[in-house]
Amino acid sequence: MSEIDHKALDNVRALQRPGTPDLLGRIVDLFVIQTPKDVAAISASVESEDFESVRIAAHSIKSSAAYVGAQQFSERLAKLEIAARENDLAQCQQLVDAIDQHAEAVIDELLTVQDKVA
Amino acid sequence: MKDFNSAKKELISSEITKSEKPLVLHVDDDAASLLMAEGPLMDAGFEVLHASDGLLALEQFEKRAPDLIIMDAVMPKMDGFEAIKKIRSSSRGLHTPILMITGLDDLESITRAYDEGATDFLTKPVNFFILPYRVQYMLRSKHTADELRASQARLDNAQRIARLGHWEWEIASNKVVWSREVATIFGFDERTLSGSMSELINKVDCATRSDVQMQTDQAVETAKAFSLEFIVSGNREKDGLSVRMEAEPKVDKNGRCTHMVGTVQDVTKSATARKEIHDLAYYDLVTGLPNRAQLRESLTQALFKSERMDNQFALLFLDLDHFKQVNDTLGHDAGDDLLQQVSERLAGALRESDVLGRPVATEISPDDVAAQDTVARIGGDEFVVLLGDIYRPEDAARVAERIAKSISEPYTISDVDVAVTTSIGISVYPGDGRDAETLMKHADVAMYHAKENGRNGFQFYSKEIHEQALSRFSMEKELKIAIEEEQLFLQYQPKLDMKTGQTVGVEALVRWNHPEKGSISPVDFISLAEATGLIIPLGRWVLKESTRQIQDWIDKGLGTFSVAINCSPVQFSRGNMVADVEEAIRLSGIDPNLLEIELTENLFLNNIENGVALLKSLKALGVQIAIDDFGTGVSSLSYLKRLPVDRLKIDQSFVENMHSDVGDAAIVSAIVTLGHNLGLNIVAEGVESAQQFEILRRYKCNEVQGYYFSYPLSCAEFERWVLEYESSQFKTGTR
Repeated sequence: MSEIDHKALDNVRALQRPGTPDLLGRIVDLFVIQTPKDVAAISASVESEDFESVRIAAHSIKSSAAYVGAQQFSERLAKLEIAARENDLAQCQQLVDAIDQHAEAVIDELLTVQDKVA
Repeated sequence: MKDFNSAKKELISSEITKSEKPLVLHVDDDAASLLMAEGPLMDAGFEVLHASDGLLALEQFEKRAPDLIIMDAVMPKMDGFEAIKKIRSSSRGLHTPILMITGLDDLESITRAYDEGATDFLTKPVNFFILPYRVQYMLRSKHTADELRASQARLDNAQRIARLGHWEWEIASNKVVWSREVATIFGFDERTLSGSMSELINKVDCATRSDVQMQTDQAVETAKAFSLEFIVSGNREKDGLSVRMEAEPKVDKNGRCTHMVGTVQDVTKSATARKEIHDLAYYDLVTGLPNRAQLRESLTQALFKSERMDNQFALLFLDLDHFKQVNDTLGHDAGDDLLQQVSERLAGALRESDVLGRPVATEISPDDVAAQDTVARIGGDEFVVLLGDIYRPEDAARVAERIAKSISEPYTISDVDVAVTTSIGISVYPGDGRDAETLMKHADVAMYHAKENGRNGFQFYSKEIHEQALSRFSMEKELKIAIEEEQLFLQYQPKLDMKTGQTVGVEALVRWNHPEKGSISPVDFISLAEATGLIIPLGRWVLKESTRQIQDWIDKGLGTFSVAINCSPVQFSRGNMVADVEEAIRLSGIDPNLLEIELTENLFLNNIENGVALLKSLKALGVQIAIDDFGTGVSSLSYLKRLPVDRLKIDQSFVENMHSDVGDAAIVSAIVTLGHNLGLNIVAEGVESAQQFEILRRYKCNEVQGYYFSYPLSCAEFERWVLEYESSQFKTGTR
């Protein structure tokens, strides 16, 4: 089952300006580099029960994920955002583990897409 | 895709000013969003600036002053809400459009962002194709709003410079909302920008306030526009401001006025300018008097008014005799000086206008007199005096004489004593003309006659009027002397008791013994005395003389007789009758009951309540009161019972024909019955025959007087009559 909605990627491609660096490539690069860091930060924040940081980081990854077409991943982050807002530690812990694995799957698939394009 | 992009580019860039690209600050902690938005924004012709959190956004905002901000809501360090708040609280960020990016389902954020001052919203995920259009639209709105603000500022400025304010009045709540300029003009605090209409109207100068009130009320009632000019006092200007107020009604579907929308403008400066222009056009520079043009207007008004009110007015045309000599020998400046002094004397002579010379019915204050009269200099040494609303031509003669006298007093011009006289021609409306031209011409002609007749005098245009006025005018002067020098005397007509036949009293009748013309009848001078007000000193003299006489007869042992005296309404309306009567009683020491005041029903003609009050205060002095000529005036029987009256005197016209006219007999009988039922004594006047006497006796009339018993007698004659009468035939009353 694909994690990535390719239509979303087409939308990003459509935003490409002629004569400028590859937009989709930069978006994917950003996502690939930033997401593991953010997810690690989220894990740490959950551990230290810093819900505000969890919420902001989740919110941020959530919209990036949506732009690259990682819909289910994005939805999971939305849930985390809500759990963080509600200071629901148990829920946050449960979601963080799932998100960690989920992020890897999304990144893997995105890298394949990018390779294809490249 | 390329086609789409280029089409989009053309569409959007065409709306952007060529000089400089609008700068958009895009704030988001998600770098992907920034990247994706950048292309479309740049394609649309914007320069794009990035910030990854609220703090950096503020920094960029301060440094670059972007035209528009796209702001993410949730960010680390400082979120979008806080950033908006900070931007809005700075002066340059007050009107910068801010597009807030929020979560799709986050209504709370939207509300909060709106409260902090966000201009518009987009939800995530953002459609980056739409974004530039939204941004473009927001910039366009901002441009419109900027223009509106600039226009508002210009309007405010213009209104301030023009000293023009606007207001709106909601009729139902009587609330008026006004602009700052209105507050300034009406002298309110600048922050007071609403109130009631009466608060505004209360600031209007009291002379015109009720008029303004009436006109605004009327405009509301009839849903009509209005334009008013008035003085507003109580503001920072000491003399108040001339203000023009204009308004138009707003009506509901029934045509009823719901609002008045209007302006007020301080027109003090233009009003002053207008007045100066008017003064230049209508006033003479040398004397400050109205000129020919102003005279023409006054004359037109006088004609209009007199035609309507059926009044007379007079034009006095005068020039200075020998003015040219003064001008030639002493120079033009001296001539101007003389003209100024003459004009002052003219004005002075008019101010003394004899108010008593006006008819009783129109009580006029001296101010009004001045307002109605006009002195104008119409050229060279020619002046015209317009005497508005004279009662008789001799009023004009009196003023003319006073003017001639005043002007002929010596002048000192450039240390030289100068004597000038004036000749005055008088025309009277409507006798001498019914239009301005004719009246002016005839007054001019009359002036030449006055000159021919030896200068320093006046001449009426009409010979008849001239003679009549002169004769009455001289008679007036003589009457004044007569009162002062006691050329007047009283005659007494006995009044008999019908039952006992005894002389119970007399009616005193005033006579004038003129040193040259001999005895003059009251018919010839009482109306003159009334018209000139001389009736007041005359009446005072009659009171004094008759009360003195009562006491004299008692002292002589002749008898105790009551004396009835006739009083004119003028004595009540313009004199102080009650005080005069009190004074006469006090001086003579008589029993007040012996004095009888006779007055006619005309006294009550205008104001019954006043008449009743007057009679009550007279009655309180203890005198008797009789109604003279009863039955001939406008008798109102309903008030008769309220009057503190002792007697009714049946008019002699009824008595005269009583024996031949059944109607007159019935009236006499009815008056007697009516009077008796009201507890009044009835006196019949003009009894001339035994037949009349007999009828009155049958009717049970109480008292009689007339030629049948005696003519009016001098004091000495009366005294003799009383003694002779002791043995006369009437005494038994059985006849």
